[in-house]
Amino acid sequence: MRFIILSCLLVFAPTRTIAVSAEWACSSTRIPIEISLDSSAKLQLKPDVFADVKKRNLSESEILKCVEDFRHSVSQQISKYKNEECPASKHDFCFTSGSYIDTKMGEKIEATFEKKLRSQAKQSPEEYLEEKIAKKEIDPSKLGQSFTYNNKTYKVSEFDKVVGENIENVFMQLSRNEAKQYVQNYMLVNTDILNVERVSPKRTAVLNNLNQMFGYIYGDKGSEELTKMLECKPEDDLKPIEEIIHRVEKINKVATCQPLRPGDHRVFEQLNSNYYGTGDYLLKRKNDGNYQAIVNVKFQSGSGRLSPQEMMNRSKNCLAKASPYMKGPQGELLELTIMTQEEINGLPRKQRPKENVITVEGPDFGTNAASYAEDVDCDTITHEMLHLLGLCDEYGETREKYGDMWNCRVVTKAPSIMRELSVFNKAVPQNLSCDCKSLPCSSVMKSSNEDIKKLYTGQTALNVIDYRFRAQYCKNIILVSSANLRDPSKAMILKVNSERNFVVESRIVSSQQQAPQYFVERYEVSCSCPAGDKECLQTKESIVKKVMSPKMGNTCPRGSRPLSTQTDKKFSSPQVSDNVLYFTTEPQIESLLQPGHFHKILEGTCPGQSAGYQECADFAYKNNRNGSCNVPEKCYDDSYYLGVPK
Amino acid sequence: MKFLWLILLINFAQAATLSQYHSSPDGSSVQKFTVNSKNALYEKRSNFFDKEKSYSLGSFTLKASKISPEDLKRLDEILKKIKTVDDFLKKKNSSFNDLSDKTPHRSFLVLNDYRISHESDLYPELKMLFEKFQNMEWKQESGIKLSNDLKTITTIQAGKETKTEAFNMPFQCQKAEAPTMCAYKDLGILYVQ
Repeated sequence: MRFIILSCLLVFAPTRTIAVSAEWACSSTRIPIEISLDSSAKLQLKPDVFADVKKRNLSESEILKCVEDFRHSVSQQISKYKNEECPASKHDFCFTSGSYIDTKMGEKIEATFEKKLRSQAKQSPEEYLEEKIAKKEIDPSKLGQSFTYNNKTYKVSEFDKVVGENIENVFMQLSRNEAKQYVQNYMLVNTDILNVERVSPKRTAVLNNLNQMFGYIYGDKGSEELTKMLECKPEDDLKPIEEIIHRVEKINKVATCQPLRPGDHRVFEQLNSNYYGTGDYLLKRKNDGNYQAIVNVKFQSGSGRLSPQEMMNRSKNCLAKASPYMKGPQGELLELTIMTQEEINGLPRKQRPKENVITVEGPDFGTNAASYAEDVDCDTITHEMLHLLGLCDEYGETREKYGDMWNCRVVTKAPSIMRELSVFNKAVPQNLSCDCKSLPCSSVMKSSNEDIKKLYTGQTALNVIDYRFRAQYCKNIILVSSANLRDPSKAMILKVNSERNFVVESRIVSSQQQAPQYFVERYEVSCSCPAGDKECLQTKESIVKKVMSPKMGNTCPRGSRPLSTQTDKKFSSPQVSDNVLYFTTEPQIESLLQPGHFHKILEGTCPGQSAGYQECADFAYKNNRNGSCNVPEKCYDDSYYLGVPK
Repeated sequence: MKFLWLILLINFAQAATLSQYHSSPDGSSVQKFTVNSKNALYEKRSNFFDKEKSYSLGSFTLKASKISPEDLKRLDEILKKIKTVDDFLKKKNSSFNDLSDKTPHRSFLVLNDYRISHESDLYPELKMLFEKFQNMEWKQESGIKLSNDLKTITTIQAGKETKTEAFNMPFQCQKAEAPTMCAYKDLGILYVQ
C-alpha cells in the first residue's frame, strides 16, 4: 500500500488548479492527478481516483490507508510548491492556505466515503485505538501493548479515556485475581500521576478509572453501595478497600445459608472480595443424604504434549478414585466430579457453575491450580481441585529462608492433603503391583516366616518421618544387625520418647547370598526438637503416634519395583504370583478430608460448622509486613481449625 | 554470629534484594540476590530455578565482577515506582502486594518486600535481571555441594571445602532413588535427577 509521489508537476493550468503526478496506491499505477477548486470552492480530482477506489474490492483499512497517504502527500506537495514557487508567483494557490486545501480535501473524502472514513481520515490516536479495540485487533486488557499510528508508537495504558471505557469489558474476561493484577499494572504506568497531589484532568481520569476498577473487583452485586461510597470524587474519596469489602460482602450474604436438604443444590461463586473464600462449583445433596460437588473444568493446551482430553480423563479417573474416601465426620460421602462445559450444559441453567480454565504444561512445570504439568499425579490433581472448592494451603511458609510471603499461614498437624500430598496415598488404598523377581523380595515372599513378610511390607521410620524433618532434626545411626529381634514383625519400634526427643529403630530387609538370602538391617533414627520450636514438637507428636500404630507400607518395598500394570483387584494380604507382589495398601486415615474441609465445601463462606476453618484459613495467604498477623491462638489447635476430634 | 550479621548489615546497607520463590506441598524454593554498588550476595535455598544442573545450597559472593551500575539504577527506578503505588494504596488500607496475583504454587519474584507475579508488567524485566545475576561468576562461601553422582556431599565454610562425606540418599531424600527431592540440615532443598 505504498503511495509514492514520484514527482510534482505544478502546472499553471486553469486558475486554481494544481496537478501532481503520482502513483495512486489503491490501483498501483502511476496516474497524474489534477487538483482544482471549482467555483463553489469544492475540491475536484481529475481523474476522480476516490470514486474509482470505491468500485474496487478493497478492505476498509486498505482504503483508509491510501486515502490517508494521498491526503498527506498532496499536502506535502502543496507545501513544497508554496515554499519554492510562491515567492515569485501570483498563482491563485499561493493565496490559498495549505490548511484550507486540506479542509477541502477532507470534505471531498467525506462526500466520497461518507462519515466513517471521514472520521478515520482525521482520527486521533485515541480514536484509532478505540477502532482497533472494536475490531478486536488490540486487546484492551493488555495495558502494555503498543501500537503505531501516524509513525508514532503508543501504549494502550496512555489513553485513560479508552481504558475507562473498557473497564467493564476487560473485567468481564478476567478472574478477580487477574483483575487485581491489571489494576496494579495500571497504577504502575501512572506512578507520575499518583505521586503528585495536584489536581489535573489526567489525575482525575486516572483516579476515576481506579475507582471504577476497585468497584468491579470488590463490588460484584453491591454496585449501588459502591456508587454511594465512591461518589466519583476521586481526589479524596477512594475509600479504604477493606471498608468496601466488608460492606459489599454483607450485601452478598443475603444469599441463603441454609443447609441443603436431600434433593437441594447450591451454586457457589468465587467471592470477588476473597479469592480464597470459595471456588466456583455446584453442590448437590443427593436423595440418600450424601453430597456431590461438581466443578466445571476446561483443560487447555499449554506447553505440554498431553492433550486436554487426556488430562480431563486422567483427572476424572483420579477423582473417581479419591471420591469414596472424601468423607464427612459422620461418614457422609462427598463425591467430587469434574465436568466439561458440554456436560455442564446438560444441567439445568440454574445449576451451572462457572468454568475454571486449566492449562496443560510440560513435565517440569510447577503445577498450580490453573496449570498442570503433564505428568501430574492423582495426589496433586486432588490437591489442586480442592483449591477450586475453596480450600487453602496448610503447609509451612514461616521460615525466613524460604521467603516469608505467607508467614501468617497456620500450619496444620493432622493429616491433610492441603499440607502434604502423601496424605492421598494414606487415605486412598492403592492396589500395588511390584516386580518381585529380585532379592530380597523373592526370598522374603517365598519364605514361610510370616513375621519377616509383615516386617518387609510394613511402614518404616523413613515412611513416617518427612525427609525435610529428618534432614533438619534427625540423625541416622547404623545398628548391628541381629537375628533375634524384639517384636520381629515390626518395621519400626519406638525406643525413646521424651519431651523434645524421640528415637525410632527402623528395620529394613536387605539381601545376602547365603540362606535365607535376606537379613534385617537396623538403623536408629534419633530426632531432637530445639526448645520452643512448636512446629517441630507438634510434628514429633504426630510421628510418635504413627510409629506406635504402624500400618502396611504404601509403596513397593525395598528390592521390588513398581510395575505399571494396574489392577482393580483388592488383596487382603500381600500375595506373590508369577514373581509379582500384589498388595492393597490399607487406608491409614479415615478420610481425605478433615471435618473442617468437609464443612467448608458444604458451606462456602456461610457461617456454620466451618467457622473455625474459615477464620484460620483466612491467614493462609497473609504476611506480617503490614502489621502483625494476629492469628488467634486457637487456630494452632487442629480441633478448632480443621475440626479434628480431640 | 552476631559479628557476621554486623558485617552483612554494614556491607549491604542500601541494598536491594531480588528473589525468586516457588512453593508446593513437596517443598519450598527460594533464591535471593542482595546487591548494592559494592557487594553482592547470592543465597540459594534450592536449585529449582537453576538453568544448569547444580546441586549446591548456601551463600555465594561474586568472584571478581560487580553488579553493573545500570542494573542497580534500574532496580532502584522500579522500586521507586512500586513504592509510589504501595504508598498510595496504603492510604486506602491496601498495598501493592494485595493486588499481586497469588495463584497457589505459581512461582513469583520478590523485589525487596514487593511481590511481582508473572502477569505484572514489571515481571519480564525483573526476570531478565534475575537471570543476568544468576549467570555471573559466583564463588560459594558456605553451604554444601552434592556430587553429580549423588554419592558424596561436601561442606563449604569461608569459601573452602572443609568436609566431604558419603551422601545418605535414603535418609536425606524423599525417595531412595532419583528423581526426587533431598534436604540437608536447614539449608534448603535440592531437586536431584
